[in-house]
Amino acid sequence: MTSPAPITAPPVLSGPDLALACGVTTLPVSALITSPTGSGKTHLAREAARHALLQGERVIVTVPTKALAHEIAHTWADLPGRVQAFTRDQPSPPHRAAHVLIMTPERLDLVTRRWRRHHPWLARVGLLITDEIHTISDPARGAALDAALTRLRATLPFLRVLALTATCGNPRVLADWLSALHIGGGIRPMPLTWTAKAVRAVADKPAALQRALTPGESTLVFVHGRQRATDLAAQLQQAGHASAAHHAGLTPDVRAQVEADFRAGRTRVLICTPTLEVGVNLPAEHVVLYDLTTFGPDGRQALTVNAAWQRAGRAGRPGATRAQVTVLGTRAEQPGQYERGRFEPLSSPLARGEHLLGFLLGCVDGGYARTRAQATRMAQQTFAAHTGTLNAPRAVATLLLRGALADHGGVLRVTPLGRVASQALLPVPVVAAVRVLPQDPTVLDVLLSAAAHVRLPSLGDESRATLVDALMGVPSRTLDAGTAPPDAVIGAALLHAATHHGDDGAAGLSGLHVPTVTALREDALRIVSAWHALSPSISVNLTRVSLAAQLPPRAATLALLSGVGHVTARALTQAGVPDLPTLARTPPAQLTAARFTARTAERLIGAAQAYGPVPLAEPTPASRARTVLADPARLARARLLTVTPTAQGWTVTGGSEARTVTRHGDALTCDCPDGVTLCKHILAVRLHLT
Amino acid sequence: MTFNGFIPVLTHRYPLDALLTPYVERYAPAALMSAAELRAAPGAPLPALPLMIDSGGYQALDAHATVVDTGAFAALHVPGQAPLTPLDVYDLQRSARAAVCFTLDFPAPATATTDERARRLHLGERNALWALSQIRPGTLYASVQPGQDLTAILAARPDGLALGGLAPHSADRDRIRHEIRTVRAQLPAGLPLHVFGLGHPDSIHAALTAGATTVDSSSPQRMAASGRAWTGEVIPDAAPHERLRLAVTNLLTALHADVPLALHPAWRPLTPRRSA
Repeated sequence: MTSPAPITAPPVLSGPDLALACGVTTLPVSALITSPTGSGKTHLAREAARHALLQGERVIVTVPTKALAHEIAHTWADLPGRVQAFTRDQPSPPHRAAHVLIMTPERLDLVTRRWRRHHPWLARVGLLITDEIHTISDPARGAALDAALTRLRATLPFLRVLALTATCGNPRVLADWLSALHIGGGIRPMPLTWTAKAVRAVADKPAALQRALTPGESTLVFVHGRQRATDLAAQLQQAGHASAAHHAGLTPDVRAQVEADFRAGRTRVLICTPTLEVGVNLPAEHVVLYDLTTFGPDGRQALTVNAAWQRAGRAGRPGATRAQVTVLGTRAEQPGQYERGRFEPLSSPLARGEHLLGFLLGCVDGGYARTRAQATRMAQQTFAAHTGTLNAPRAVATLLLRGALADHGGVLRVTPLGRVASQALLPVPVVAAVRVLPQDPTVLDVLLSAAAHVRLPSLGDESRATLVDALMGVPSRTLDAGTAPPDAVIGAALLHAATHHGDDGAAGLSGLHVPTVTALREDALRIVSAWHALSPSISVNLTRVSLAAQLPPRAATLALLSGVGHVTARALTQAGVPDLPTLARTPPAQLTAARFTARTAERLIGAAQAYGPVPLAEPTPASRARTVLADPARLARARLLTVTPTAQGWTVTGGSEARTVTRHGDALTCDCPDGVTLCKHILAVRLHLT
Repeated sequence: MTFNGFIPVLTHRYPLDALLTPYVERYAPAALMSAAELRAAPGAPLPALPLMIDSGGYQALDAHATVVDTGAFAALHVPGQAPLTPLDVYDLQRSARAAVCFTLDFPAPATATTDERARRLHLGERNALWALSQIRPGTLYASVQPGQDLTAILAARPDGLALGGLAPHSADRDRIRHEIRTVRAQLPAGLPLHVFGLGHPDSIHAALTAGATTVDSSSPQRMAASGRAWTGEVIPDAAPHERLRLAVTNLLTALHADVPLALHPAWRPLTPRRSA
């Protein structure tokens, strides 16, 4: 008698394994997969994309950041189709040729606002993969994802959605909204081991961190600020740890180097900001949750369980022997609460503030709503409405009041103002601000107005003063009138520096990170471009070009020519052509001597001659001298200086070098190299005399 | 080249047709366009799928249209338009690389006299015989009307026949079946029979079961434009994207295609848990 064969229990499947086993990648249904980081969601998404491509469909993938879009485009390049990131960095829109388009929610939001234009390719999209769908709860960016998903699903009747997340407290609600199957569970190949360490005070955290680190172990330490990351990394270096900071303030090259060093083991401890929470794939053996409290518009806020687990999910490098998570917190911060993993329910911020207005404006602009009833129907399709309430009629009324929409006998139409705001993804009042620019504005006036609508990074007093100094001789009716708010002056000074010295130079002058300056300049550029679209004028256009090309206004006039970008404009400047009027008078030989071809030289000169004069507004120096004292930022800088009377006039100290101011009749002159009629030293003397 | 089943009609005139085109390209075996439409929008992009190019003879139903005998063939004169001759139709079909072409016939409006009706039938037949004697730009179907003597046309060996004149009787499925069976009985086995202008799913079913090979209509879009789907869904003030969804639903219904789950009204994988 033979003994029976042992009975082997079938494998228990869950998460992505279960989804694959159920054929979710091939079935014509939407699916929400909630499973831990590292459990195979990305593999599942790839397989779903592969199957869609083989069916002749196109695929859209949404990811939280542009960097991730490029990374996935790179790693998915072997799929049977053209895979491409669709970001503003692309030299030309790739959507017509690409089969898999990877983009941020903001880009998809914009695409759906122009769905009729994109329809020929968009209608071929059969699958939307939306990674990190929990970001729909993000107060700042979640509304764009909600809006984009709502519009896309309305546009594409057959669209299947594959939504992926590791942290979602209300998956049934989310799945219901998506009309999707929900498959949860899933197993991490390397289970997380949590350790909560309570400290008596926040000041004790650095020492606790050092005790928590194991030499040689790859570790990510999550903090909330760039400065904290930099300081902590330096502190650990001094203590002998191979550490570095990783945050959005690093230039792409530096960041890539930091990541490469970490992957190669040259750096063992990376102090990172939440950027890495949804950033590039950079797993470690050990994750430390260092900052458990944030300070936002609503005051102190505890780190959410969702965010904690997103960060913790970085632990568990493939092939590693351990996946350790250490939570450092005071007793008030309850570091032990996170291990339980009770995720918060997701909800969308779309119903709040300007988000709903922007969504509805985009719906009218995109042709989704021509009546109040249609607008309400669209709003009811959002995740915000699914998880709460929103007041679409009131939002439509606000848009009508602001002049973004017009009512023609019950039919809603988007006005030129509304269209520009919608396409620029800007609030209506920001675009409407072009109407309150001073009459005959200068470039600096435009910068001052734009700066009032961008979020200014914090700057030290010395940096502020240095930046504002550069504005002393720059023509500006707003500055002369003394009506510019101090923050706007600082913002404009920063933008002015970026146009004259590039983002690098402005960062050096201000002490900011280069990407911070770049982000500020790009925000201002978006506003000024919208103004130019709504109300074109030479000053606004010149400011737009100046911001885009990072060139001073005079050199930027060269880039006003069609087909001349910043590279050519710079080359012309180096060839001794400082501006457009000069180019019109330049002999072709001068350009050919600077390596322009004869044909290009002829074309450029001809285009400059055809362009005609560039009328630049410039207030008279007298009015500047008279009223500039009213500007508080300039006064603040001048007050920092010390004035000492001498036999020849005055010695002014406190700046980089001592300067001499002398009197000639009623006029004061200074020996500083600023070359302006009213430098900070003369201002200081005037203050001294009064 | 032959097709089977429902063939949607596309024009360049309506935005909804442009929105529906990618779905027609994906789900339909071919699309039907009119030579008159092609002439009205020269250079406009054509759908990326095989095309059946109708002559545009349906314009003869215009109360002010006249049919002029020019000798070798007959031309259609519609006020405000250049005359449409079989030669024009031939050129348009060839330049559009039509998979299936139709000859220029002249359906008569209900108000036409018996003599005019007979004259148009005769001239339509002459056009068909002229076209069938040329080098064919593609598979060539001769356009005929109910009750017409098919002897001469069949002798000219058309690649198929196209029966018009049934659209006004779309709701009368018995008549549809009768007229199609009558024509089918005269045709050699295997010769394709196309029927113009039937879009209601029941009419399509009646035509196909009676022996039609293909039928065409723009009904999916026209229904959707009025906010209705054959599945019973009605949206009184449908927005463009909603009309598109209704049109896609109608298209798939007309094609007797499987409706994807995403479009199926019963598709709710979970019990809704809507908050207030």
